[in-house]
Amino acid sequence: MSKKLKMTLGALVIVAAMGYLMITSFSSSAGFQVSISDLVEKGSKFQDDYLLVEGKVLPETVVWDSTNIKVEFVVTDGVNQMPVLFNDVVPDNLDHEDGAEAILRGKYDHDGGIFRADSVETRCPSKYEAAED
Amino acid sequence: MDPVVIVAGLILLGISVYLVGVPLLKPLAEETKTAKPAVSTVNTEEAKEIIFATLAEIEFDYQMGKLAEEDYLKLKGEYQPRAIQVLRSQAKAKGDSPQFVKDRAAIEAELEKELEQELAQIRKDLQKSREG
Amino acid sequence: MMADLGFLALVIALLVAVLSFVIQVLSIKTGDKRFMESARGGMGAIAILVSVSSAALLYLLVTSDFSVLYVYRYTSLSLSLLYKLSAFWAGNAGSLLLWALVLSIYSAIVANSKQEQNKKLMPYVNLVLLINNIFFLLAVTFFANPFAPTGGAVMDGRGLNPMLQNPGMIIHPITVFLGYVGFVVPFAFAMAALITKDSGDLWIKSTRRWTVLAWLFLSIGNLYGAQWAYTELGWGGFWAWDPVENASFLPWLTATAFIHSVMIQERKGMFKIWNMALIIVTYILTLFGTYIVRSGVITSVHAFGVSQQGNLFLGFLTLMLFASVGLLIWRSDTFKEEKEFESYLSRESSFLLNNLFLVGAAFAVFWGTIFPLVSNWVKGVAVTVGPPFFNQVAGPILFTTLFLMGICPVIAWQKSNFKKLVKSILWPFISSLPVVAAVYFVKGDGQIWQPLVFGIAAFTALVHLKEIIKGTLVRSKIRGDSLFQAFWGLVSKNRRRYGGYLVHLGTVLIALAIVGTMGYPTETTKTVQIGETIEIGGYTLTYQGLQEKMFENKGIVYAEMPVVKDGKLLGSVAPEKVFYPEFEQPTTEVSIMGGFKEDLYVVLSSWSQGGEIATIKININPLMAWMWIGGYLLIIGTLFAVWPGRGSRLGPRYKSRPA
Repeated sequence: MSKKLKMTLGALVIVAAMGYLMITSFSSSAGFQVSISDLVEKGSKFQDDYLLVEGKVLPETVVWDSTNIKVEFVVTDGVNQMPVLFNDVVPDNLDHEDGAEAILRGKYDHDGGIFRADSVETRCPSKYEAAED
Repeated sequence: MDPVVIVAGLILLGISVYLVGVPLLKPLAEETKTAKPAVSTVNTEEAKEIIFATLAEIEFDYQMGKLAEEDYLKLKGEYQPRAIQVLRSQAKAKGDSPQFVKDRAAIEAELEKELEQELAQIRKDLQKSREG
Repeated sequence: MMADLGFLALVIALLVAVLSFVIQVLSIKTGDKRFMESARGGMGAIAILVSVSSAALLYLLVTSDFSVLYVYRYTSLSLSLLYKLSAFWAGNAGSLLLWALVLSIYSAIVANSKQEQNKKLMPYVNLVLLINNIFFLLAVTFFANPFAPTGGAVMDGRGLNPMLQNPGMIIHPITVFLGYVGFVVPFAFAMAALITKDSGDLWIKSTRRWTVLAWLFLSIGNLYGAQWAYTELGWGGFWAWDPVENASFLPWLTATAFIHSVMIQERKGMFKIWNMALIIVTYILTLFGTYIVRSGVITSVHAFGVSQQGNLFLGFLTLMLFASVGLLIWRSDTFKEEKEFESYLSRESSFLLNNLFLVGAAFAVFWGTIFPLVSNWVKGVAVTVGPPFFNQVAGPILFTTLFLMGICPVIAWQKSNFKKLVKSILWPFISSLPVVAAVYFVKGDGQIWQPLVFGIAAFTALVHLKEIIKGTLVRSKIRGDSLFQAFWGLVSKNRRRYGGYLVHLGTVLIALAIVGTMGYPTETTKTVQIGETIEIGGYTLTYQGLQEKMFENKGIVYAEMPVVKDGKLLGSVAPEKVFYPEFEQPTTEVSIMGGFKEDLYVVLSSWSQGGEIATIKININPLMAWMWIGGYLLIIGTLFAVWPGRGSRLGPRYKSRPA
C-alpha cells in the first residue's frame, strides 16, 4: 500500500468519525420547525418532538407568576392561538404593545393544549424591516 | 435637485474622470511595448535572504529536535552549495573586482570549513548517541 | 441635499466601477499599460466616491435629518453622538454601505500598492475586486438605498434599538466587516493565480498580511459579539449557536485552517489545491453570512427579516462559487504538488490533521445551520437542531484541535518518529495529568469531559512554554548569547512563529473560559422581598429595594445589593432596567462582579408592588474573565506576528527544488 493511500485512509477514518459524531448528535437533538396552526390542528403528531415555533405574542395575555418564576402567554400566527408556559423570567420585550415576534423552543403538550417552552427569544425589534417594507 | 448637489456631483464626476482618464491620455511609452524582464538585484537579494534564513532555520530546527538527523544533513547539503552559488552570482553581477574575487574565495572557504566542522561534530554526536 | 449627494456619489461610483471593469478587461486583452493605470485610477475614484457617500450618511445621522428614512428609523434627537454615528451600521442599508466602503478602500489599497513581483497577477486581481465592488454598489444603490426619503414630515426619529446601545455593538459590526471583506483580497489573488497558471506561492506571500489581519478582525468581531451577548442579552451566556452567530464563526474556522495550511505550501510546496479550496470556501462563507442575515430564510433573532435581497445575495454567491470552483477544477493540472508526504508522523501531516478538524467543525456547524432549509426543501418540513447538537459535535472536534495545537509545534518536519515526539511532549503531558485529577476531584460531580479539557489546555500551554524556553537555550548555545539576548533574538527574528504561539496561548485561555462557563454553570432565580437574601455559590446578596436615577435621558431603575462572601463584604451589584424615551419596554442591564476566578452575573428581571418584591436572576460563570484576557493575548500575538519589518518576513522553505 502506498503512503498516499494510507494517508488518505487515515483521513477518511477521521472524517468518518466526525460524520458518526454528527449523525448521533443529530438524532438526539433534532427538532421540527412547525407553525402554530399545525400544532393546534394536529398537535398529537408532534407530541414528543422537540419543536421550534414562531409566533406573535398577544401582549394582554402575558401573565407573570413571580412566586413560582413562570410566565404564561398566548402566541398567534394570525389564524390560530396557542398558550405557552415558560418556567423562567419574562424576556425583554415580551409584552411589547405591538406584539413581539417570539421564537419558542420546547415541546407541545397536546393533552394540556399548551406549549412548554425551554427558551423564548424575542426578535430584535428594530430589525422589523420586512414588516414595514 | 439642489444646485449645490449638482455642482458637488460634477466635482465628483470630474475627479473620477480625471483619475480614470489621465493615464489613458499619456503617450504610449516605449517600455509598455517591450517590457523588459525585470532582472533586478532585488530578486537575487531576496533569494539570498531566503537561502540564508533557511540555513539558519535548518540549524535551529535540528537543534530543537524538529529535523531528523538524515533530513538535516540532506537539507544542509542542499542549501549550502546554493548559498555559495548566490554569493557567486552576486559577485558576478557586481563585476569581479579583484577584491571581490578574494572575498568570494574567502567566503567559500569559510563556508566549506564550517560545513566540515559541523559534519564532524554531528558524526561525533551521532557516535555518542549510539554509544549512550 | 446631503442625501442626494450621497446617493449621487454611489451612482457615480457604480458607473466608474463598471467602466473600470471594462478598461481592466481591455488592459488584459491589449497588454497596454495605460489601461492598467486607468483602472487603478478608477479603483481609487470608487474609494473616494464611496467615502464621500458614507460621509454624507454620517452627516445626516449626526444632524438628525429625519427626511431620510434610515436616519428616521435608527436614530432620534435624544440619542448620544456616539450612537448616532454607530447607527450607520444598525440597519440593513447602512451595513451594506459599510461593506461597500470597506471593500472599495481595500480594493484601492491593493490596486495602488507597488508590488513589482505581482505584475502578472494584478490585472486579474483588480478584475475580481471590481466584480465585488460592482455587486455591492448595485445592491446598495438599487436594493437597499440608505438615502431613501422618509416621505412625510416627522419631528423625531424612532430611535436606536436599546440593545444596540452598547459599546460592543459599536465595535462588533465594524470589526466583523473589516474581517469579512478582508478575505476578498486573498481570494482575488488566488483567482488571479489560477487564471495566470502561477502555481507558486506568490499569491499567498502577497496576501499573507491581509489574510492574517482579516482573521484578526474577524476574531475581534466574534469576541466583541460574544461580549455584547454576554453583557446585553442577560441570559447568562455568550454564545447561543444562533444562525447569525454561526455565520461569522464559519469563515473564522476555515480561515484558521487556511492560515495554517499555507505555511506548508510556503515551506514545502504542498497543499496547493487544498489552500485554493480553503480560501474559496472562506470567501463564499463571508457571502453566505450576509445572505443568512438578510434573507430571513433561517429563523434567528438577529436576522433582518424576510426580504428579497436574500435572492440577490444567493445569486451572487452561487455565481462566485461556480466560477471559482470551476476555475480550480479547470486548472487543477497546473497545481501539482511539489512534494508528497514523506512520513505519516511529520509536521506536514499534523497540519493536515488540524485542517481536517477545523474544516470538519466548520462543516458540522454549517450543516446544523442550514439543515432547516435543506430539510424543508427535501421533505417539506423544517428540521432544526438546537445548541446541544452544536455543543456535542463542535465541542469534541474543537477540543481535539486544542490538543493537536499542543502537539503540532513539536513534531518534526519531513520525518518524525514516535519516540522523539513522546520525548518532547512527555513532561508537559505528565504535568497536565494532575490538572485533570485536581479538577475532577475538586468538582467531584463525576463529569469527565470538563477536567479533560482543563488538562488539554494545561498541556498545550506547557508545550508552548517549553518550546520557547528550549528555543532560548538552543539559541544561546548556538550563538553564545546571554539568555535574555537569546530570548529576544529568538522571538524577534521569527515573529511569525512566536506571535503565533502567543495566539495559541490566547486561544487556550479562551478555551478555559468556555469550558468553565459552559461546563460548570450555576444559576438561580428567586423572587425576594426587601431584606431577603439570595445565596448562590458562597455569595450572599441582600435585596434592599429599588432605586431610581436619570442618566442622560434614560430612566434607570436599579437594585443595589451588597454582596458578601465568607463573611466579607465584597462590594455591591446594581442590576438595572433602563427605560429609553422612544421605547415602551425597558431593557435589562446586567450587573457583573467579575474576577479572575468567576463572574457573579446579576439580572433584575421584574418587580411588583412598587419594588417590595423583585425577581432576581443570578449566574455564576467560572473563568469568564479569561475569555477577554485570552482575546487580548490573541490580538497582541497577531500584531506581533504581522507587524512590518524584519522577523515578520517569510519563513524559509524546505523544498528540494530551487525556488
